[in-house]
Amino acid sequence: MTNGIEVNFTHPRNARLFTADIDPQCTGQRAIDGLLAGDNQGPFLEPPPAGQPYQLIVKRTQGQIPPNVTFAAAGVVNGDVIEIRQAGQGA
Amino acid sequence: MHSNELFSRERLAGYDPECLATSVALVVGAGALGQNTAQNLALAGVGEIRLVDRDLFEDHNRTRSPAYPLPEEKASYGLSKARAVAHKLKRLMTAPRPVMRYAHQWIQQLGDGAFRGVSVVVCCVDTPSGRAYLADKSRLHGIALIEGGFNGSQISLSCYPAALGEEAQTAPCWQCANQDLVGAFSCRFYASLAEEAGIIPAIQNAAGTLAGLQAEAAILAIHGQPIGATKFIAFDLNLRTLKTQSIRLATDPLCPGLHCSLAESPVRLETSTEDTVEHLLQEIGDRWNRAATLKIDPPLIWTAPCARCGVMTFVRSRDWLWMMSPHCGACGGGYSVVDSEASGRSATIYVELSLETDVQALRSTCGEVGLPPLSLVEARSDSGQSKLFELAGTLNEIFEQGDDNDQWN
Repeated sequence: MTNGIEVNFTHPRNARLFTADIDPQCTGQRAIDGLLAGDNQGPFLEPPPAGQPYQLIVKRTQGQIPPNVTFAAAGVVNGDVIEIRQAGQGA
Repeated sequence: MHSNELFSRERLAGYDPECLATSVALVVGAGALGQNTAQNLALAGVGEIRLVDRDLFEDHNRTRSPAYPLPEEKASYGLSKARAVAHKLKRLMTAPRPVMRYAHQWIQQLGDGAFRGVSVVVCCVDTPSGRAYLADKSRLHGIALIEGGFNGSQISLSCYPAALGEEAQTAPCWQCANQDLVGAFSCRFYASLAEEAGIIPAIQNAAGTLAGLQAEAAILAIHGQPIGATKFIAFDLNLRTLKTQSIRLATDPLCPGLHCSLAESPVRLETSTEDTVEHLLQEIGDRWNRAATLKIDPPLIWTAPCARCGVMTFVRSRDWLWMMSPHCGACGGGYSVVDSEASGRSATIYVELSLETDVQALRSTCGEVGLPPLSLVEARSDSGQSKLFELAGTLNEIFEQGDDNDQWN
């Protein structure tokens, strides 16, 4: 039995999903680091372009998970879909 | 019955023309986004627009630049984006007594004076460092920040209403979700990184669409109203897939950004940017009745050894500005901030200045050490108290002004 929560991360540019069992005390940045590292099938995310960090959004609440905020504090629950966003930087 | 009153349509849309006429929008960046947004604000009746950009027009800018200078205008305005756009948009301003100010400078060079009296800061820059700077200054001065950016057909808008006091500490800022300031020192360096990373610059349709959203958010902020369902919000739209997303922005507890606003008005000084640092310290000491140390942030690079010729050269520049082009004046070689193997010497970097500082630094003018007119300086006493002071000056020393608007009056 695990105390983790199962969440589905959606890729910012394609339809891929990454399902993960996450410790509720995991922070946004640690989760992104994990997605960059990936699993035995390789990284889920490519390294972000300079100055364009990935951001995590809870689809159900539209709330952001900042880099140093835990999934628990952000109100993430079992089964949540976490969207990965990159804000536009050009002007 | 149709009214022919100038702002009849805007009144129906809920705008208060009198409120807009007394408002001041600081638009930073006069590229595709900045021009389109500033044009919307000018037409909507914003009373004063301050336009800041250090960039020059290039031919490829024409496809997304409604204020691109005509051939005959280039002779008058040159290729400075800020100058040309300010002069052209001044003619479009519909406010009764429009004021268009501009500066062909980096926003960081203008100091706090650029933010004086501003109702809304409109961020149209393309560097993370520029966005971070505007986020910090907007929060410090309690001004709403409306930020926008593109990646090709994807447009992003984020809104940070004015926050003061406790809310300034707890409300999200742009840096809460953007803590990677790669390319913090150079536009061109960041542009090359962005190009390598495949980030696609704006096309006019994206610029025009985002500018509409950004100007509307700015106008609502001027009226003291939020855009969207929550106060601190971001919005993404892809022009080609029509996918949209609203995001409730959140605060990061370890955010490196500034999370406070000015608690009290600064003490206004008689010392100007032309006076020496020694004069500034003496006036602060006299006004405060105690010896003061000035906090210098960002740091001041005073001298640095050239990594090529070993010459120790005066830099006299804030670190971010120096890093834009850190080259030796004697041989063109690169500088080294750390110990140079060739010379065995290291750079002198000031993070504070006091009457104990090297006399050459004290005899420099405030302007030479990066304190423009109306700069805020934080002074600290030996006992650890701190107080804010403001250099003398006027907005006319910071900004130039666009063409007169006589044809409408």
